[in-house]
Amino acid sequence: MKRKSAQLDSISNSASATPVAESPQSSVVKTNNTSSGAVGGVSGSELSDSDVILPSVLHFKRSQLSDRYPKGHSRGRHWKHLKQIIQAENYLLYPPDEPNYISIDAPPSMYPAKKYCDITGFEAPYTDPRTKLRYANAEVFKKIRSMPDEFIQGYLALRNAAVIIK
Amino acid sequence: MAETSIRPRRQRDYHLIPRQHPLVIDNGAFRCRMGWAGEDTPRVEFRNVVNKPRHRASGETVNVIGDFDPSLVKTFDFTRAAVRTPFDGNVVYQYETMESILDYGFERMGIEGDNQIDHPVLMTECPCNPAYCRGKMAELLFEAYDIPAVAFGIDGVFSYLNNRNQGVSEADGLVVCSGHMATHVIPMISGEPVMEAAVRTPVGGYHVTDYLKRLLSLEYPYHVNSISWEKVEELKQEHCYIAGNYHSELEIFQNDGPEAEEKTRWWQLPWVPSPPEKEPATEEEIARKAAVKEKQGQRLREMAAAKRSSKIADLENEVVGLEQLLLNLDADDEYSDALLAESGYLSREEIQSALTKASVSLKKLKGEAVQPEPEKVDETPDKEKYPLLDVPNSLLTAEQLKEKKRQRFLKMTSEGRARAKLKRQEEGLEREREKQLDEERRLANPEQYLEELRTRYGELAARAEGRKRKKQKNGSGASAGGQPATGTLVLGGRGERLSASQKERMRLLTTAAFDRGKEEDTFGTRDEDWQLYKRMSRDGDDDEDAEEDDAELARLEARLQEIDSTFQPTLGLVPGAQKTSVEVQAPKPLTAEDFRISLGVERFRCPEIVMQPTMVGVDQVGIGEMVEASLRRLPENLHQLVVKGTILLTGGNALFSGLNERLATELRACRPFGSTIRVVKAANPLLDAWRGASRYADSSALRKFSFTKEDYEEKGQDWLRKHKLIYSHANTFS
Repeated sequence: MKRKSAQLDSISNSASATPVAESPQSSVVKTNNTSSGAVGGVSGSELSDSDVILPSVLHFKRSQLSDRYPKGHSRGRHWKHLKQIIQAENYLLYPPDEPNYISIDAPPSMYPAKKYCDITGFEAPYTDPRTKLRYANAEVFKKIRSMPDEFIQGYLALRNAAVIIK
Repeated sequence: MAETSIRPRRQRDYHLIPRQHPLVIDNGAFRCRMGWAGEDTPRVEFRNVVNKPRHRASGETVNVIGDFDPSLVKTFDFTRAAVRTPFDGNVVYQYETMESILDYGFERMGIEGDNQIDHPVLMTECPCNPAYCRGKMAELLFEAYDIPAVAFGIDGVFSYLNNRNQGVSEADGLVVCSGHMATHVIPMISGEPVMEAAVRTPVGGYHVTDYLKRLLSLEYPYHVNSISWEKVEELKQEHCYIAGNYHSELEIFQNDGPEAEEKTRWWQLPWVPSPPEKEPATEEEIARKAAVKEKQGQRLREMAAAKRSSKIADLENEVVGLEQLLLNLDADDEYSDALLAESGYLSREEIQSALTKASVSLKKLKGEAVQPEPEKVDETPDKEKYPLLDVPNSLLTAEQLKEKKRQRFLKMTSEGRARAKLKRQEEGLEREREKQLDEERRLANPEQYLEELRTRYGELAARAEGRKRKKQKNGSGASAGGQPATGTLVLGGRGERLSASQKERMRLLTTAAFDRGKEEDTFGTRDEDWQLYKRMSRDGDDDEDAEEDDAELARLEARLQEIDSTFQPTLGLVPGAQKTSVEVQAPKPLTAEDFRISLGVERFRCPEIVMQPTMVGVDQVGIGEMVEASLRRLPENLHQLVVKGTILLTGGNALFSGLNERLATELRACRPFGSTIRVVKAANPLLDAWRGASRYADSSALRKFSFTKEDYEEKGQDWLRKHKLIYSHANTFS
């Protein structure tokens, strides 16, 4: 009896003591969870605010990136897009057998691409010469022909085949 | 992933973490995970995005990092804020956004420090990360946070190592890591990735969600606002799967049998039933309404009557007054001038005419038959009326010439009037005669007459209908498609053939535009040139014709209605005929089904893009062929090692059910007969990368291979190009 009640106690203790979103403890870092119990005492609005917005001063920070790249008069502040980054990498200067971002790009498929209906997803034996949409049957064709241009372009864009007017 | 909606709490045990204890960051394109080396789970996990909403009260923009929390909408205005990610593809490029994210992550970790974070960092990056990106990331970490050392590793490889440690995968094998922005296949030889044979296809979980979202938005344009990215992501995680055999799965749905129905899922949108239809009004109600209407009519009638009577009284007074005036004038001539001046009239004749006018309108008002003012038939011969006309011009003075001109004009107009009158009379007679003839025919053979009338009406109606359709077709040509709601499906639009008249018009327009400039411009010198515009502006059909037809049609319709009780007008030219069609078009109330989004084919169509990227226009191989492509890049002697090992699926897309089986079938189809293929899913496709990194950081290997602050200061960013972790360091993994 005694042992049982003790067990129960420990279970209820652990249940009540385990705080809400604490992660299971590892062997290396011994953490003490009791402190996080205090979080429940803070009122809801304060909690959400302090959870959402960062404090204005972060003591662990040495400098702000924006100080290094002040607005306006530095080219460094303009962040290159992936394409520009790749271009600037100049992979040609490096040994050809060294793997790089471009070399690991996948090749095109060896098999012909299967054609699927743009609307229903079924296999599509036909292509509408007017809208260039692929369709599975007459019913879909009827639908395509009564579709506004906007939707036709939307469906084409799904497979990157929309007409882009620049 | 139920816990993802909860924003991470600030960790409060930082003081227990030893200094220099490594920080592990799995910087994934979808989620960022942060934690301490050696631990089993990351401490902090959130979506790797920054939102910049406006604070509703203060109006200033703030950075909100991580998952979108609907409860924040109360305090912040998200409407104009776009979600920013530091990633372009699977590569970090926006380091200011990255800084905000790291700030948030470190703060949530509870890190305190005096202008520095005294923990080495192990961060994941994409395979073959460009040196520029690696350098910028190191710069950010060293300069902004002053960390002592950094190391970069590949998430998929860490995941493989972790699974190897758990006995899921072997030393040799292949890791298939399908993440948020891209999918990678990397062969592993004795615990080391062979980057030379790695393959990447830029299709990942993001693209699956995006595909699903766009498909649903196109299919349910009325519900676009409900189809948010977050919701679609949730739908994807819950319902999408990879078909074992894509084509047979499609066939199931194409046959639309019970099996397809069973596989279809529904997403019911919040929906408020429309109020119940109004019951047809009871007789009492109708009677009451009629009474009210009658009452209103009565009042209007009374008002009109009162107005009329007052006007009659006024007129009577005027007539009496005028008559009195005339009598007075007659009575004594002496004072007539004074009387006239007093009355305001200029002459006796004027008073007389005013009197007749007043009495006529009085009679009209009283409803008495008014004798049409007898046309003063001037019996006076023309000779007397226009005496000057016959006199030669030479005998007349200038004054008289003018008078002659006037007389001639007067004569001509009066003659014209007389002719028109005669014509009118004749026409009236003709019509009367026709009507009589018509009536006679009807009386002679009512059946045949009715039949004739009907056929004539039908013809005309058909013609009118055709004209209408043609017009509509022309109108909807520009918008391609028109509204199918009009009942007749209008197949107008781009490429539709033009009628002959339209073609002619186009030709005229183009020649008018291009003829100029060839030689000397002589347009307009001849009168016929200007006819061109008339021909251009003619819009296909002759409108005059149409008008005539319409008039005839209306006449026939009226006549038919008159003699045929069963007649139903088809076009509604006669007012009152449209009533029935309006009643039919009453909108059907919306039901729950209108607010239901079905997921049938979409369930496996969307994830299929990982297997067949060509479906979204990416001309690269899918997962199955990626493995093949990777093997091709590998030296021949290593093939067997890799193929006999484990093919480990990791990354968010590995959670799709059916991916294992599908990949195994596809590989079996490509590999020689009898080869053993072992495809396994990672123990935890989402967390294993972080866990592997955590284990690695906990070993002595990290110190050995990391890039320290001194290195950074001495050698600079460029040196990072050569930075490479050795994953299978002696005591990293057993």
